Amino acid sequence: MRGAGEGTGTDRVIVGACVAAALVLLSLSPQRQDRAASAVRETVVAPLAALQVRARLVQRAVTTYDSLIRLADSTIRQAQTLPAVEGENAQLRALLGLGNALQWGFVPAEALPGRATGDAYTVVLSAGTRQGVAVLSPVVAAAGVVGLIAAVEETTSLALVWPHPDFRVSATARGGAGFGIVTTHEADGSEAFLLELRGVPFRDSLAIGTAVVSAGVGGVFPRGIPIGTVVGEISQGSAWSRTYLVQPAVHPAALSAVMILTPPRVAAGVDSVWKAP
Amino acid sequence: MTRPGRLTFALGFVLLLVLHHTLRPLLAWRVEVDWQLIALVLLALRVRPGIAALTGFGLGLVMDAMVPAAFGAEALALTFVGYAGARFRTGFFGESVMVGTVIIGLGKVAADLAVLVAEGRLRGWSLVAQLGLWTPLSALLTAIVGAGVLQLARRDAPPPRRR
Repeated sequence: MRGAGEGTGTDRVIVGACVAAALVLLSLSPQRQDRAASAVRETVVAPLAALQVRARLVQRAVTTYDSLIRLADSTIRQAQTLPAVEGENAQLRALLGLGNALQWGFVPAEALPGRATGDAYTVVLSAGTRQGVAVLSPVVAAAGVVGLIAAVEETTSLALVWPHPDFRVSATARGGAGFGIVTTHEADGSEAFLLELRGVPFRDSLAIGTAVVSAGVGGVFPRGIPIGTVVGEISQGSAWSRTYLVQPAVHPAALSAVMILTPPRVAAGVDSVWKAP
Repeated sequence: MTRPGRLTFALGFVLLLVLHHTLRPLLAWRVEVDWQLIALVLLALRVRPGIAALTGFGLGLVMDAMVPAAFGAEALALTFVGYAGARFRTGFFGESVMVGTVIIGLGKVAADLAVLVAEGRLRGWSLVAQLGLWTPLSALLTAIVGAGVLQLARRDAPPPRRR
């Protein structure tokens, strides 16, 4: 390492090259950015992703050990109210239940956190082509639709989560009425992180609390995966169709473990997996 | 810097990067410590500006790859942070903990700002809350932790020789 007196021409060339490279990367089309990001993920990020998975496992082991110790203790009831442990346990139990219900054709994966700023739209998952993940595979949690796979590397993949502006899924009310397309609801404040069910025929009126599930049209999401619950209707002035506001079944902030459905499973359907409550 | 000093420094640098990819996601705090930025400024206070900028570019690229919506934004921001850290040392202040702390704080704000502007998806109150609350708090926390790390590093490793 060199000490002081730097700032030579070589340094300026290096800095200029870095800035130019960063600007070039920023100006690339989304597809090319995805390819470049994919290459970096495959080479550099893969070991870091493995590190994060191990850290998650350690965290889980610690929290599980903690809760087991407390199980033996007379203060078990108090310990069970710890929201973080309880929430994670509930999520894992539900996911195990989902795994039993699906039986085959899924790949379990960990959602690896990225940077904290503005990263609610995509998430890196700890499974890739080696585990049989393919592009456009649906990503689900026990509660329902999470998103779909946008890019796949050997050991990791990038999932596009439902708040992403490009996310679309054909949907219908549980029972078959009110077909439409679910997309993200672009709003701030209390309405951020809601979905919209657009294009529902005017004759199909959906009551508040109606469960919305995937319709199976389009070949990406099989029929019957919960998407959310209708919380209201948005008046858009259209005489032919209605738009409903939908409370999503899965919140991205609560994501830790997910399942990726494989193409054969998508083709076979998941009709009996998510039953009506 | 002596050979054991270099080794200690390298281990410290790697440890900070490991913390960034293990402790930070585990804690998952809304107000987070950017260990990677601290590692970069720690390095920038010891190496020439070109190396610091190149390291910043590489570290930023790794984070960008995790969230490709603004691919290149963090690389750009950290390139400037690395360069600025090294230039301030060589040009003006020497290896100062205070300057390092300020660079860490401003660097965190700059990195967040670059990502948000490049992504362009956060709008309205969400953007105001991010830039007016969460980013400054994260920058403050990172700067406080960074000051401790820089102080520790200065105690353990002698400052570089001046030509």
